[in-house]
Amino acid sequence: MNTLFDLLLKPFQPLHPLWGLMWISALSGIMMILVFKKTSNQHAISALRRKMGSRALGMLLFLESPLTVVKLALGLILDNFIYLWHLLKPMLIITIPFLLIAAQLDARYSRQPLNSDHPSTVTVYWESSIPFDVQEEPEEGVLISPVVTIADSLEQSFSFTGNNGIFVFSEMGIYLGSSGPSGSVCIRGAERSGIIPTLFHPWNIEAPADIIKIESFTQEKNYNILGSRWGWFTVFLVFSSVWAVLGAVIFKVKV
Amino acid sequence: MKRRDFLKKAILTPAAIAALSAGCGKTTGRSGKRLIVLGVDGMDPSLVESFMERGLMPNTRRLKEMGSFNRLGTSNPPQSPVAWSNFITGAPPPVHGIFDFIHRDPATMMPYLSISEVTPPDSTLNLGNLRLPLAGGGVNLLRQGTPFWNTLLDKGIPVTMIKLPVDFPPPAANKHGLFLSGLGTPDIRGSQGSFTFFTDDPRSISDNTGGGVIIPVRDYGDGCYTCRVEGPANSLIEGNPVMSVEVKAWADRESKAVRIDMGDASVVIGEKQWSPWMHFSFPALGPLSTVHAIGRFYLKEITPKLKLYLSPLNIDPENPALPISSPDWYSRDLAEDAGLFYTQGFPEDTKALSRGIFDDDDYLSQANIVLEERMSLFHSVLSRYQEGLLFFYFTSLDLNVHMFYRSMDPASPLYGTTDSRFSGVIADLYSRIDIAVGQAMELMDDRTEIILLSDHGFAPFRRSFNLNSYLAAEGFADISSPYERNNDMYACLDWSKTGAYGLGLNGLYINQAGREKNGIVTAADKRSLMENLKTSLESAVDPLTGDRPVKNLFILEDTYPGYQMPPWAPDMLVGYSRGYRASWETTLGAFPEEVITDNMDPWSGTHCVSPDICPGSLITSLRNMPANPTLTDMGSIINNILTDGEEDQ
Repeated sequence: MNTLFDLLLKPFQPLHPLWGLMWISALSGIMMILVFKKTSNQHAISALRRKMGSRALGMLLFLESPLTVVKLALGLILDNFIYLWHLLKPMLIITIPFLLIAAQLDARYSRQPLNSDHPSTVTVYWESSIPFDVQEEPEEGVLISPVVTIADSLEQSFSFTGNNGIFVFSEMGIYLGSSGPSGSVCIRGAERSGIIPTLFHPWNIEAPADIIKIESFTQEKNYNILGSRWGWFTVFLVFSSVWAVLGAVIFKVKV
Repeated sequence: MKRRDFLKKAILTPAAIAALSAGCGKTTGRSGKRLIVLGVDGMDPSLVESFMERGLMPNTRRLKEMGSFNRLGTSNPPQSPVAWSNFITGAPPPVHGIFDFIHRDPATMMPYLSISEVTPPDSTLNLGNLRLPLAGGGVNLLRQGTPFWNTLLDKGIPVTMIKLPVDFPPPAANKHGLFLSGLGTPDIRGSQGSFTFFTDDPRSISDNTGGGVIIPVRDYGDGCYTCRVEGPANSLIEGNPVMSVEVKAWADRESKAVRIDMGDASVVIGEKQWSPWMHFSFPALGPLSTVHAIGRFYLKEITPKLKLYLSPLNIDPENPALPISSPDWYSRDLAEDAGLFYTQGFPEDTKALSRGIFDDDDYLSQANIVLEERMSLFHSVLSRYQEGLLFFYFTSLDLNVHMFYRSMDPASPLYGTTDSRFSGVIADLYSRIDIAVGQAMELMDDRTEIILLSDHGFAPFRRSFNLNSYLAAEGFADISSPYERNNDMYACLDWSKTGAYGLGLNGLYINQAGREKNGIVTAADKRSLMENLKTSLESAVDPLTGDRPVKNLFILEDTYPGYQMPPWAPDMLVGYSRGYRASWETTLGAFPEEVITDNMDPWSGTHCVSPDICPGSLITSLRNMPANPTLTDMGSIINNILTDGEEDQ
């Protein structure tokens, strides 16, 4: 999945992360509204919206007849449920690509690149015992703290600070931190594989034998938009929503 | 509009927003002159001359040769809040109202910080134990007078004031102004810097003179210490309970390191290492209102006992709980560019050194972090500087010279016990300030000038003068409860027989009838009492050295004739001789047995002496400076440079 998204997002890699994120959000919004159009019953939604409009108008016209207003209001409530039912299928279909895209963007745009100001902390959870000979051999330019061992819970932790945005953990070939072009996956740890971890935790790799999982704590990345700080998800949600609404107007999608 | 046109315009929207975003925070204004003012607190002219001669300050020497070098007349008293207020307003203390770090309310005799005050809301909505503020309340700057930069702002000249002292809270937002508060900015608890020290050996810290809290913690065998970090009081809840967060410190004594867990955050630090800034969140009203702070841990020792220091919790510049910049986004902008930084006014933890929490190495490692952060901030601000006034303040020299004057003063009582490794600390600091001067000079061109100035110089602090004890010994004050002599706030005094009392670092007050809570001295007797005090104090002799501890006793109405003094002003200012200063006990109204004692505190340098002893420095790229310049002249000099002399016209 990471390779597929690497390919899909390649055009955005040369851009500044904020620009890349905004363009991806915009395209996602338009894509999602088009999927909605294809997977929803546009005719039924259109008819239902007209029906709801006429009921609302009726309530305004027959204000002097409380019984009629109540009947129309009850009908409006029922129409709302029917409307939600019409939305259910397309929304369920959209949810899957939405979650996949969100997970990929989280893996690529949510963390600060490693640098000397922001140490990252790694915790390794061992399965049965802690080997004595674990030695972290940092790359050149990487500073590492001593390793704290918590024997009771079979945990080992250390912090590191890197200048080159990458850290090699032990001899297991685990690369942490972000490196390379903007929007590349920032690996945060490892866990045992399975369909769900593989799809929805793209920031993790396969945990080596004897290790339950590896977690790392790295600084979250925020984006400066008009003087205020936005998390990646807010940027994605706002821009994809705005473009979904615009797309609905442009492509005449009944929502 | 055709669909194609619409699409074209819509596609441009993200780019437009990004472009707007990239432009946000940059100052714009008319093209014109540039003036960089480096305010270096405590830069002593004699030391500058000495270090320039030794080749340690080549950039400063170059600046001097290009322009001029002067001694800069300081304020009376020569304390930083007073001196910088003189600089800001171009006026003496009776105008700006700052006479000392500490003032007292004569009606209650309670001391308070002179720079700013926090006022509670005028009205609240009470819902159960909730107290929701409806109107009023906030933080007020107590400095009065008109800042010199208002003239520049009125003319549309950009003004950037970074870490300016006595400017908390910062002024209201102005489209031409960028302000970041400096000295006077509190920590998140409202103090001027209160550390927390977690240890399972609390008895090793016997000094209880304040500056922080010692929290005993215990390892129950699993290596985990549960540390409760106290934040600010919660004014939204009845009784203002203190908010706190739990931090777990997992100790590994073999590797001599701890893992500190707080919420989702986690960091590992080894012995003698500092953590990065960590974010603390104190929920005041569930998720609706949260107070944000930042702090750094330092693992002083792990074997045999845990000694874990936590810096004072600073206001988070990315999410400030109190106003520290103007516009309010400016602190966040700086933090994003330069990294998180100490926002409290006194970042160097001198109290931790004085109390023995830090040794000299620990203290210097912390002071080094402060200076590195300040340099990073300076670099960030300098790289965006376009035009107008840029003022940048350095605190490191002042606080570190206070703490390490002993390393270069053979007459200091602590000189013999100070490791010779630290003999070059002060010279090194001056050299590092010189690097900043060099960076500013790189921007010099035909429209750019540079001013390097300090608020005061320095003198040794070898002997402590217990002013209140002297007053009692000479019959100006009466002690009715001798066993309470060492308690603060005049606990031992019989006010009905007390004519004068000392408070703060240089203040001397008459216990005046009708003004002080228990005043006895009538207006008719006040002048003669002040003259008696002047004669007595100026003739006092240190029995150990034979020197006179008090060089000048300034009667305020004579020093500042024609001014109406506010009720919080002292009546006299004690101008100590070189080598002497008010004891720490005197500053808060205690009466130790001995009048003069050796100063055994690492705080071994001072400027709270007679102002003629410690003038500041003024080095500029300008050749034509007025003769005998003083701090009060600087505002109009700066305005004249930037307005081509319009100020004088």
